[in-house]
Amino acid sequence: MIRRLLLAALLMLSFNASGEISFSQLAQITGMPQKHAGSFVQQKYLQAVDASLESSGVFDYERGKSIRWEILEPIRSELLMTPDGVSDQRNGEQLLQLDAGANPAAAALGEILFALLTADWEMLESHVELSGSVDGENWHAVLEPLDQTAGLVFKRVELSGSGLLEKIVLHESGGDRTTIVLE
Amino acid sequence: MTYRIPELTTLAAGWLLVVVAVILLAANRGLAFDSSILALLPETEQQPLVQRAGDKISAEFSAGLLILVSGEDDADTRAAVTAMASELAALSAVETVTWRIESSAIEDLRNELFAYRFSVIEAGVRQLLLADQHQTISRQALLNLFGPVSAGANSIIDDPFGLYLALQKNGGGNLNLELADSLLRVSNAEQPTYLVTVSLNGDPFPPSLQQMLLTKIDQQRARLAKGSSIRLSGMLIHAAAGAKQAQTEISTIGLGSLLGIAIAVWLVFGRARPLLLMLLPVAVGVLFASAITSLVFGRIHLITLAFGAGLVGVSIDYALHFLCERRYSDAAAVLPKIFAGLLLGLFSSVMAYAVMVLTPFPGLRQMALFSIAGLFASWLTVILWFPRLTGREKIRPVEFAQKLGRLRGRFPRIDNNRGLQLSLTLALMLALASLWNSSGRDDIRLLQTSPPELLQQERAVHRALGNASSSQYLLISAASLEHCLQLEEAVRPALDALVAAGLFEGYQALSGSLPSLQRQTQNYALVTKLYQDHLESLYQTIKLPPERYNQAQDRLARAASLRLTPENWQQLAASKTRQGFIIEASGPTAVTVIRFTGLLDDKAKAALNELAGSRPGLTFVDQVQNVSDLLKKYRVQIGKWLIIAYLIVLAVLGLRYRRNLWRVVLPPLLASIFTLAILVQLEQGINLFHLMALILVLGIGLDMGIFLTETNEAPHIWLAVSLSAYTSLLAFGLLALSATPVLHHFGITVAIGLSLVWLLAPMVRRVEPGSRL
Repeated sequence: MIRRLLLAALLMLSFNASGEISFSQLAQITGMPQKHAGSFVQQKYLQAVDASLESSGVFDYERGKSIRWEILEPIRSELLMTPDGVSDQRNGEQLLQLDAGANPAAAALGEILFALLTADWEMLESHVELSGSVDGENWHAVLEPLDQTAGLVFKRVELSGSGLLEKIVLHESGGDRTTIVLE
Repeated sequence: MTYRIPELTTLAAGWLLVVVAVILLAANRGLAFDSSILALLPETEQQPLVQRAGDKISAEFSAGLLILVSGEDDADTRAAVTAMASELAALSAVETVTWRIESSAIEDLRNELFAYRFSVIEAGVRQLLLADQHQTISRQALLNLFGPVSAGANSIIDDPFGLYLALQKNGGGNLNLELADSLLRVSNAEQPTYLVTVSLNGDPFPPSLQQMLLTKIDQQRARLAKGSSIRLSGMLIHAAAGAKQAQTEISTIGLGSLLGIAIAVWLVFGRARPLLLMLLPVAVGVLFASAITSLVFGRIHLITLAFGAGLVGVSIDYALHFLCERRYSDAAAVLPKIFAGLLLGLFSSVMAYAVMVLTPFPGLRQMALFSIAGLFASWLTVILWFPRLTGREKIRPVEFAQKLGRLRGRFPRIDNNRGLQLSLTLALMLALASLWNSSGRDDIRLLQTSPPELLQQERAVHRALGNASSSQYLLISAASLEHCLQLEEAVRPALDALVAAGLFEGYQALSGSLPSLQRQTQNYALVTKLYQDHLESLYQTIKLPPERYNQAQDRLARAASLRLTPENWQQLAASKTRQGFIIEASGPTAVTVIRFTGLLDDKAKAALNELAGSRPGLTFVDQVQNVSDLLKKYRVQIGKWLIIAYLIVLAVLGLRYRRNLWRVVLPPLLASIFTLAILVQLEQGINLFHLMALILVLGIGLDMGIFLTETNEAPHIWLAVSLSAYTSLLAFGLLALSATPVLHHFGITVAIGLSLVWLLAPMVRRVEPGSRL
C-alpha cells in the first residue's frame, strides 16, 4: 500500500535535469493518507559478533501522531513511536521512554525515523542533510545527520526504492547496521 | 573653670597626633570589610561546618555567571550564543567561557564511565536487580536488538544488557541540559534556549569588570531578534545592580540632603565655613572609629560602618553648639558656657552604647566600639580644635535664632495645658495598644538589595536549569568520604519517599554519580547474578555461539575489582558539575551536601528536620531561616538594650536633674513609642533596622533636652539643637526614599522620630522661658 502511494506521489514529481533529489520533491510525496498499515522485515547487523539478527512484523501509523511497530518474530513486542520517543506497549505498560532530555542522540534518531515513516519532511529538514539521485523509476536518497551529537549514534540513513520506498538502511556510528524492508 | 587657648594648644596638637597615628596604624594593617551575614552570628552559635558549606556554595555562586539565551528561531539563537561566547572570551576578566562541547570531548564524556559499568549502575536498573526482575532487563536488551530504534551504541559482548546505556540515559547530568549540535541546550524549554557559563578571574565586585562584562552582554542583547531574550544569574549582576542603585541614590538622595544642609547652614550663618567646621568632627569621628574598630576586630562589618556612621551623626550636635555659642561669646568663653552640657551629652551617649559591648553579638559589640570611639573623637575634636579654628570669628548674633525662638514660643506647653496633656496621654495609650498587638518582622527580604526583577530572573534561570537551591541543604558528615556516601545511600530511600509524597520536587546527591565503594561492590554482585541467570538465554534467543558467552563473562570477570574511587572520579569530566557537593573530602570529618530542587515549604522543612534528627551525622541547613532567626535575635537584643540604655540614662541624668528629669527624657521616649506605633501601621511590623535608627533618635533627643536645660533655653541653643535635628533628618531621614530595604527602614524611622522629638522637646519645657531649672 505504501508502495502504491509513494509511486503515485513520485509520478507527480517534476524531476530536474541532473536527477538530484530535494526536500521540496520529497515534500510533494507527502500527500499520504492520515492512516496507513503494512508489514516489515528488519535485519540488524552486529559488527562485534559479525552476525545478523532478523525480526519481522507489522506496522501502522497515524500521521503526525504515532507509529505502532509490532514485532512478531522472534519475540513478540509492540512499540509505539511518537515524536517524543519510543515506548513498549506490552500489557499497556511503558517500559522505555526515550525523551530528549535524557538521551538527545537516541531521541534525534527516533525523531528522524518517525519523520521518515510518517513523511514529515519539514521535521527532517532541520535534522539531516539530503543527497541522492533519481533515475527514472529508481531513486536513492542519503540522509546525514546535521547534529554532531546525533552523528555519534548514526552516520547516515539510506532510503531506496524502485519507484517506491522499499528499503531503509541505518548505518550506526559503531559499525552496526539496521536494514528495514517495507512491504 | 578657666583656661586659655594656648594651654589647649598642646592638648590639641597631642590629639591631632593621636588621630593621625591611629589612622596610619590601621591603614598600615589594611582595611578589611566583612559583608557576610553569618559573621554577625554569636561566636558560639556559628557551626563551623555550616559556615564552610555556606562559604563554598556562595563562592561557587560568586565566581561565575550563567547566561541563558532564548529565541524563537533556533538557528538565530545558536548564532547569538556563538557571538556572545566569542565576545566574552576575549575579555581579560573572563577566565573561561563554556558554551560548546566538541564531539571528541562528547565521545570522552560518553565513555569515561564505561569501564565501571558493572559497579556504577543506574538507579532504576538497580531497583530491578534488587527485585529480581531480570526478565524486564532481558526484554529491554532484546528490544534494543530487534526494535527499529536502538538507544545508542550497544555492545553485545561488552554490555549485552545495555546497563551502560541506561546509566547514560538517566544517571548522567543533574541539570536540564542536552547537547544539541555541540551546544548546551536547555531541555523542555518553551523556546530554543542555550546555556553559556562564564567563570571570572577573581572577585566579581570590581565595578570596572562588572561594567565591561555587562556592557558586552547588553550589546549582544541589543542585537537579538524580536522575541529573543538573555537571562542572567550570578553574584555579578546583583553587585552591579547594587552599585548602580547606590550611584543613583548618592546622586539623588545624597545630593539632596547635602544641598538641604548647605542651604540651611547658609541661611543661618550666612557663610560656608561653618559647614566645613561642622563636618570636621564627623569626619574625624568616622575615620578614628573605623581605625580603632579595624585594629580591635581585624575587619569592619559593612553594617557596622553604615550604622556607626549614623550614630556618629549625633556628634554634629557638639559642633553646632559650639558654633552657635561662638556667635555670642569669645572663642575663649564658649567652652566654659557649654562644657557641662557637652560632657553630659557625651557621657549619657557613651554609657548607653557601652552596654552593647556586653552582649554576645559580635555585630553589636563592633557597633558599640565604633560609636563610642567615634563620639569620643568628635567630642575631643570640638573641645580641643574648635577654639583655635574659630579664633578669628566675630561675635554676631544669629538673626535666625530669634525667628526660630519666636516660633518655639508659640508651641503649647504641657505644664499648663490640660488639653495637650490629655491628647498626649491618649496618643500614648493608642500607641501602646498598637504596639501590644504588633509582631516583629524578620524577613530575609529585609536584607535583599537587588531589584525584584533581577531576583526573578535569577530564579527563572535556576528553574530552567533544574539547579538545586543553594540556601537549603542537608549536611552529611562522617569519618570519611566513603562513610558520607554510605550515609547518603542510607538516607536516600527516605528522601525518595518524601519526593514521592510530593513534599518537594527532587534532590541531588553526590552518591548519585559516585556510589560508595560498598554500594559498588553490591552492584557488581547483582550484575554477576544477572549474567549467571540470564546471559545464556539471551544469547540463545539471538543465536550466538557459546564462545561469545564466554567472552562476555570474561569481560565481567575482568572488572571484578575495578571500582570508581573518589580519586578516579575527581579526574573525570563528569565530576566538574558536582564539585560543590563535597565540602570536606578528608581530614577528621568528611562532609558532603544533598541539595534540593524547587522551593521547600514549611512541611518539607519539618520533614527534613525530622529526618536529620533521626540519624547522627545529618544536619538540615536552612540559611533563609538562619538569617531570619539572626535578624530576630538581633531585634530582640537591640530592643532590650534600648530599654537598658534608657534606664542608664535615667540614672545618670536623674542625679543632675532630679524632679525635672522627665523634661529631658520624655521627648525621645515619647517620640520613640509614637514612631514605633506609626511604623507598625506603615511597615507591617517592627524590624531590627527600625530599632537601630531609634538609637539615633534617642541620642539626638537627649542632647536636645540636656542642652536646652543646661543653657537656660537661650534662642541660639534652640537653634543649635534644631539645626542638629534638621541636618540629621536630611542626612539620614531622606534615606526613607531609598530602594534598598535596610536604608529605607532606617531612614523612615529617623525621619518620623526626629520630627516628633523636635515637636515634643519645646512642649515639655517650663512655661516661663529663660528661667534656669
